Amino acid sequence: MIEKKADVVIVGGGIIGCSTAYGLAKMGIKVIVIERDYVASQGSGRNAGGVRVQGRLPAELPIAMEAVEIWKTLDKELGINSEYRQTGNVFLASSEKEKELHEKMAKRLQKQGLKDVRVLSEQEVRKVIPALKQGMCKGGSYCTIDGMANPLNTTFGYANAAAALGVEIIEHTKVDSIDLANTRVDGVTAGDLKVKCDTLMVAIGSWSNDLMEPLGIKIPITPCRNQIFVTEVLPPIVEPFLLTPIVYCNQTYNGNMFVGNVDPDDYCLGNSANPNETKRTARDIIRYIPALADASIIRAWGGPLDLSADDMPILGDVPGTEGLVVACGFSGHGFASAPYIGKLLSEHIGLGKSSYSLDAFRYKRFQETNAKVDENVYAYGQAIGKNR
Amino acid sequence: MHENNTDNNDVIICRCEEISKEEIINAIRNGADTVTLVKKYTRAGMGLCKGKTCSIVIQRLIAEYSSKSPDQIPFDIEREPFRPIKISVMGNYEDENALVDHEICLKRK
Ligand SMILES: Cc1cc2nc3c(=O)[nH]c(=O)nc-3n(C[C@H](O)[C@H](O)[C@H](O)COP(=O)(O)OP(=O)(O)OC[C@H]3O[C@@H](n4cnc5c(N)ncnc54)[C@H](O)[C@@H]3O)c2cc1C
Repeated sequence: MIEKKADVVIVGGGIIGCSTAYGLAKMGIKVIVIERDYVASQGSGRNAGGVRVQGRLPAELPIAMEAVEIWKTLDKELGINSEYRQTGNVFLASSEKEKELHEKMAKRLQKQGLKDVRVLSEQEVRKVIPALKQGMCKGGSYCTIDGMANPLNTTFGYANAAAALGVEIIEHTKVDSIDLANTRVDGVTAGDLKVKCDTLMVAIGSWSNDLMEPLGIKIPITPCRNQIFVTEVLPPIVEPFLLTPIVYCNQTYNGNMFVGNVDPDDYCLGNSANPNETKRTARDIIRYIPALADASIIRAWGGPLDLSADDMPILGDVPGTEGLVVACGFSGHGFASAPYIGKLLSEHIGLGKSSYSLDAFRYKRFQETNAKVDENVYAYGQAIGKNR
Repeated sequence: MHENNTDNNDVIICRCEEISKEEIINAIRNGADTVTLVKKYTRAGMGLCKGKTCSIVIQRLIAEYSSKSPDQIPFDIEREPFRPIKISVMGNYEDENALVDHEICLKRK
């Protein structure tokens, strides 16, 4: 048995775990990160890199906006090339009715302070994306501060910056259980490793309930596989991140095109792609962007989504178990806001309060009988989740 | 690749992505201990040939650095499609029913 001790243990070496560890290390707090496989081995190294602000639910919008401010100087801060660019994000409306909903959404976002979103006519959309086939949309919502970045570079960047500040990252080590002393967290057990800590943050995305359920805590998230295929390097074809109602594409810094499904319903996890889904997205994307027909697909892969019951993450303390913090349920958009969410979580753990309240994301909200979902609020998740 | 060619650190190991031996060695020094991780650190093997040329050299470089034998260093996982295929070819299928088969593993509550 090997025993270790830290102020804070973080389970999960994704971008959430690594960015939180980085924030804590900057405060001089001793952190150990324990990762089952290697840093960025799951969602954080497999996503499309979209940094989207538009379409956010009211409570998430200020976080996504502040994250953009951090993205702008992140390379300098971490000493990396995250390939972050503000390319804009276009979300197509396939009918007049959808366009009306986009307009309603844009108005709400503008009212909340996002000045950079507006709804375009089809003609205007095709000015932004000349490669878009005519007649495929009635217009679309366009947000100019949105963009994309390289998920691997960013997540490795946070891990390396954290390590440089003294964070110990233990890879290839699966945490088996959370150890309690009465109702307080005592540490974790991972094989023959035991790590004691004052605070434990569980940031293991789709696998959260593996560690939470034995404590009698059930987080309402559904694991779901999402997948991407990537093409060879192409000349510039689509500048913004393009979301259609069924398929998306975004062209990376190097010129490879990522293509994925906007609303996957493949409720089992896996790091390989479902070949049927690859076929379907291939068929769908060339309906929108015919110029992609001759592009060669190099690779397709899968990654996990942790879809939460209300499309918002679960962040913060878990009442009843002192010292336990959870961060999961990112519902397919956790990469974009991670720079700020990691900061908020580190403030929450290290300072006992965060610069933006995490209250809207509390785990307890699902138990509150008076919890009301505002049916009137239209956001990205509602727009794509018609079939859920 | 000829043995002598790889003595020079400027030599390109991954021709598709133009990644030099030096970049690969740096990645290995920074902890990339599998062919997969070298790919994720440097892009070596992400190109059109899917690592067919460079994987074996990378495997050997990792082995050298860690004093292991090359066959102890696993290759990258082979992701479909096994050779590059045009989007129009991939998207051209007839039997819609064949697609539904193993699609939905579990209904969302
Ligand atoms: C195909 C795809 C496309 C996406 N596109 C976007 C996008 O464009 N924009 C966006 O914002 N988001 C996107 N996402 C979502 C994004 O990837 C996630 O929200 C984000 O990466 C979540 O980070 P995380 O750190 O919570 O989870 P992860 O990166 O999944 O990290 C969790 C880690 O926990 C580890 N772990 C699990 N169990 C244990 C255990 N018992 N012990 C130790 N470690 C354990 C895992 O190995 C993993 O490394 C996409 C996701 C996918 C799959």
